[in-house]
Amino acid sequence: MRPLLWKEWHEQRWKLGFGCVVLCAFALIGLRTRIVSDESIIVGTCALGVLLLPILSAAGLFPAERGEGTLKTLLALPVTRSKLLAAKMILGTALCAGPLLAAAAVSVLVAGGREISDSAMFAIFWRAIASGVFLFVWMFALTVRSPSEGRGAALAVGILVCWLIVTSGLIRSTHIAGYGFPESHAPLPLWLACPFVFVFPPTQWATALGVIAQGAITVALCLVTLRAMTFTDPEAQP
Amino acid sequence: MKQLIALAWKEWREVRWVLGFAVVIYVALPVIGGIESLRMSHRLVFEASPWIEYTGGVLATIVAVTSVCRDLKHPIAEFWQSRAVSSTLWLLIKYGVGLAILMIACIVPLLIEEWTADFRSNHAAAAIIEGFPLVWAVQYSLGFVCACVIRRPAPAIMLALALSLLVYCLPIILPPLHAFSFTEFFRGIERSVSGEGQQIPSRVGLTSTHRQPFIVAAAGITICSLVFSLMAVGREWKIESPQRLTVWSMGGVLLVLFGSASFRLAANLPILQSIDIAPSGDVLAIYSDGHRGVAVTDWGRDGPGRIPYVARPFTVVSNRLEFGEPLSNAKLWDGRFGDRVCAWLPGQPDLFFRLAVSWRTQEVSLIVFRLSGSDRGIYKTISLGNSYRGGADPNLIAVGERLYASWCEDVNRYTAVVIDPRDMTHLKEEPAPPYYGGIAYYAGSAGRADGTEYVWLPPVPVTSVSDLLEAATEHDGLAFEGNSMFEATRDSLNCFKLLRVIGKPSATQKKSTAANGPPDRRSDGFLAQLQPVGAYQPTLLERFLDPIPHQIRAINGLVYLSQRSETLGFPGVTVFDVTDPTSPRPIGHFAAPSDGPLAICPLPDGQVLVGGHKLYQLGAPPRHP
Repeated sequence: MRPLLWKEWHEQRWKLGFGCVVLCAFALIGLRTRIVSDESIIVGTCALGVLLLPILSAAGLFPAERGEGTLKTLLALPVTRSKLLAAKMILGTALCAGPLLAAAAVSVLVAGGREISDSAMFAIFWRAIASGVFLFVWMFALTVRSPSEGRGAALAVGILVCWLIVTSGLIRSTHIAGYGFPESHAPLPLWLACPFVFVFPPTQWATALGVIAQGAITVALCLVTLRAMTFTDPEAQP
Repeated sequence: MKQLIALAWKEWREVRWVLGFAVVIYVALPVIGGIESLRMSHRLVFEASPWIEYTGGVLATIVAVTSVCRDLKHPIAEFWQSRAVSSTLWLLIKYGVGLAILMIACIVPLLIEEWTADFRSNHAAAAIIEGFPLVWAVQYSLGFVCACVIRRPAPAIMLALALSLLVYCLPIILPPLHAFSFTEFFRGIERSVSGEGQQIPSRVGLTSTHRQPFIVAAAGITICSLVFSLMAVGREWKIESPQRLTVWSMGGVLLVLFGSASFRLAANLPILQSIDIAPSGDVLAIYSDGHRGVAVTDWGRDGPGRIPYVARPFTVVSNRLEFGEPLSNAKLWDGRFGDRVCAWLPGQPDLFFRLAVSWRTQEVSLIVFRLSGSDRGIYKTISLGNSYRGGADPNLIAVGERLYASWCEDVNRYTAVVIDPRDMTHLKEEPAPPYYGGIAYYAGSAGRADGTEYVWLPPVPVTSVSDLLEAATEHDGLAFEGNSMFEATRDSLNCFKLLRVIGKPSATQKKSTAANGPPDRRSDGFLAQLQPVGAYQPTLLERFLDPIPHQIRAINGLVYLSQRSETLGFPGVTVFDVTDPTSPRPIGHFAAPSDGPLAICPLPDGQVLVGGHKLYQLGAPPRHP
């Protein structure tokens, strides 16, 4: 497992650095210059991270291996596929969560307790991390068969757009149904499957339900990914 | 010549998909929209301009990148090298044919729109035909050069879009580059096209002096990109690992743009104190004379169903605010009229006044609250009659130690009452000067004559001009200090020199008089005659944010302006140095979270109290020599 993690780390660490630099710089500039409220800057930083990082990390894992032709070698290694999957999932999750955690630390250092409390800041970042990670799981599972990094990124963008459309539809439908936002009312079942369920501050029991639902979806998507982790040699086809 | 034609034919074959794309997106979709409008309004409206305006640039980038990358891929690049064709020649033909087809694809639908739109006054297509080809050429050239250097479509497109973003946004953000702004260039074209009516757009002002910098810059970028592309292909310059470069470039561009914009609008007012408004309300209004004051807040969305407003009296002790016991009462505030019907007098700091009017009973009353002591709460309710008829807003104005209440009695008549709060039992009621509208009406412009502006002043029965001007400062959008008046609009902060106050209340005032030029002092009310002396024109970035003025206050050569960005929805406060009214300068900025615009109350020592989700005591802005 450690060599697998080491390999992934060496291939992906620049993305971690990129994410940390961009998000921390965004938060730092925004919070230092105070062109808008601190909360707006933090929400903007989180939005940037949630929209950018899952695509960047998902496209660089299996699609990149396929594009460079190294997947065959990887699958030929004497390790189980679940370990391969775990190594890539761990790195992908770190790529999504790491920059947001770094941005959270910068935000607290620069503006902690100034307009909103430290705990409120961390709560916003935690919700963003949860949404980013679960969005990454969707992208990771559905891009596993993409033949190149470019196509993987395009597919990931498509998944993101689909979930954004679904989320906006859910928001609209909850309003129309008179339920209000899921923060104070019972969430619709589809909300629980939506990676953005944590973006809106839900009630405690809704959070617990969301975690359970998202956990189950993650397991299901991992199984799908395991089944899709195959390599078909194009030259071997008739 | 034969070789040239062959190369052109090849390029045409490879790029003609753009025409198909244009037929579907720029012709078929507007036709569908037109059929829809035919059914709805019985008029065929063909509108391709919105599609082309928003996607033309991206299409230019994609066309350039895909056409270049196709021929510079591994086996085809070697093929070209083995042919007896100069790389410069085929690249030039590729560039020219691609650009020509792009222009045809974008301009022909616009011409159709312009041709079918001759009965309408909307000339968006004409403006786009005149202004956008330059931008498309720039984006096409940037895509071309990126493709020549990177030779992989996806990274090249991303890099080209990042560069286009820089070309578009940097002039908006950095004042020295404003002359090269496409936004300004296009705005000028739109103005000239709409002003020229049916005139043929190609004859309208491309050679105007103020548009030349952008034209020169666009031509420069285009030519430089083409030359660099030829050199890159001829000398085999290429980036081997484009992914990291692209990602870092995109990130870098975003940070440069965000950083530049942020530091242009940076907040520089130091926070001396920030006070929480429990549990989650907003500060609605602040009143203070620098020693004592009161902040009126609500309880926010988390509060009880019927919002009890809270008055929080405070004293300024050793440069810090110390709050007394809050007074909670639903009658402290009227959401319809806001601070127009509230008043606080420095001479009676324990009292807070609100004018209450009822649509149902037509009753007008003055509610007096006591803010401290054992009998905190509603101290007295004074009935002022049953004559409220709606119409213009009721007003309660504090001038000196007196209150002036006014409300609309009839379409052409309103009542003004003078209240001396030192003697609550004795209210002096002035005869009502019948005007069209309420006091709020008088805050507006009364017209222009001989290069001077006339502004209505509140027709309150004050005894001096200074009191009259002080009364006028109660209104949003106007501030007086000494002989200067400051007016905030969405487009500018205007400074005027007060020449004189003329006129007196009259029974024959009509609104139409105000709208039609110089007023007649024999029939008009109180007027300030003002000489425009200077104005602050916002930068392009500030104009992009589209700030709507909320409150303006002037004190000690500073103008404090509370605004809310229409574009982003964020509130903020800007401080202008108006010691030289001929050139007002922004010297301070502050932003804070709030559900509405920020309430402001400048103090005599240059500090300012700002209310949002919290109450902020801010230090004086830095004064520059």
